[in-house]
Amino acid sequence: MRDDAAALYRLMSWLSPSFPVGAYAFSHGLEWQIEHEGLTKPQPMRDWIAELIAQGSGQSDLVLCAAAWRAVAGGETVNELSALALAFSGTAERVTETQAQGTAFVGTVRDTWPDASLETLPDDCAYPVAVGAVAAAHGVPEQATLTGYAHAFVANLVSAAVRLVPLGQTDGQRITAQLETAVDAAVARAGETALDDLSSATLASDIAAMQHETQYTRLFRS
Amino acid sequence: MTASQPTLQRARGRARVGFKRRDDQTVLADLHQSGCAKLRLPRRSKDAPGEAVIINTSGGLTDGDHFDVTAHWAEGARATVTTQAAERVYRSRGGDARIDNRLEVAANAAALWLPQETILFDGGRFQRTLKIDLADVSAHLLACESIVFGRGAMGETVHAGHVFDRWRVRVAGELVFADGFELSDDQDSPQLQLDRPAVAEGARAIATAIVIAPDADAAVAQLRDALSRCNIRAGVSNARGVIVVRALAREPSDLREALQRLLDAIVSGWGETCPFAGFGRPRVFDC
Repeated sequence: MRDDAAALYRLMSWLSPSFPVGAYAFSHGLEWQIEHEGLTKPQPMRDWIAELIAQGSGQSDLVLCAAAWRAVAGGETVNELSALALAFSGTAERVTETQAQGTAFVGTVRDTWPDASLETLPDDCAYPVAVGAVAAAHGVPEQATLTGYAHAFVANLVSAAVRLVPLGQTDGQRITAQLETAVDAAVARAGETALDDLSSATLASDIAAMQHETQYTRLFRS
Repeated sequence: MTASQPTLQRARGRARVGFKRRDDQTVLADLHQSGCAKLRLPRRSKDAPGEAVIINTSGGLTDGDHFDVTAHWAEGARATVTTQAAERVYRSRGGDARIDNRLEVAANAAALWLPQETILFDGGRFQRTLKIDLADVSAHLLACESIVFGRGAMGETVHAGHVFDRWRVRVAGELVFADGFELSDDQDSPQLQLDRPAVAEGARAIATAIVIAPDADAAVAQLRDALSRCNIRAGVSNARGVIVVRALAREPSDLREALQRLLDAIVSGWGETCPFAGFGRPRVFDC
């Protein structure tokens, strides 16, 4: 297979909803926000996800993913990056969200697209770090990796919103379409952000993730 | 900064304070102050935990100013470090004021880092880093930082400005908590960003606190209960043994009240193992 076609094929496989990381079980606090704070209309939903991508946990995930990609491309390990990502998670369910998906991701890739460089990944690797590291090890370009990661982040929240609100399928895809430029801007910024400047401003989303822990009836793990 | 502006005298403040255990008491081990940083040690009863109050004699910070505090708790020491007043960050001519704080907590010590809020004036810019090192799991910590956007009494809105608040917390050298909160005015004003639902839902005062202590799950339940009776939006979680508290308030006075209730709940304890029993509110909080 041609290199660029192989890279696209692998990236689409790894970030597809059918790749068994259990993404469908995580709403990133959306379940609380929909149930208790009235986030139920398409446009506010789009704005909420856009904020996460522009200056929240979506953006910080991209910075970590980019750093992991570069570390592996430069022959370095990502243990410290994964430790930073876990320490940056800030809530119990966010820790589970990134650790459970990262662990499943690394395990499945090791079994299906084995590569010697994957053996050094931490077993409980944070998800964005795992994706960046695996993509670099397989020669998937950095920009494509970050765009793919951001798309998966958006698509997973859209899917959660479609199921929880419920939003119409077309409304959901309209959100994904409308966030295209926001994702592109976030990807461009992620590569320019130093790890010391890792940040997330979406405190209300963090609080929703914390409040979700006490939600009485819930379908999602976060 | 443009060439036509004169070079201004920049404020520099540096303070270092250390506490140690002597018999059953916490006493001062080390005290150093320079520039606009001063330390005051309030009178207290012999058995009470130690307390140090930081004073910025320059009255506030602006671009190019640099203020740093290092506090050290030796083995078994119990003490609070706080500030005399809210820190004010004045309108900047371009650059950031810098605040670098460092806490070192030895085994079996209990460290409370409770500065009063930082008030960002319209056009103010600052970067703050809080680095905390706990020697091992027997070292206990409560640390809280809060930011108020604009002088509320004047109805001020922060149209321009920059905040970068950074935390790095390690236990036995291992990173257990990292945080970064940034609002810049590159595109939209800080207040416009705070108005966004996922950011701060229109809050003008924000706080982050962490607690590292035994029985974290019991503590989370107690702190959630304390905050549920306050007029703010707040969350509490146990993230791998670090209790993280986030709070958002439209009114700075509501945040202040919530943080005092949080402190009261922490010092009143959540079981026999609570390491913060015996601590009270810093006296400056009641002024």
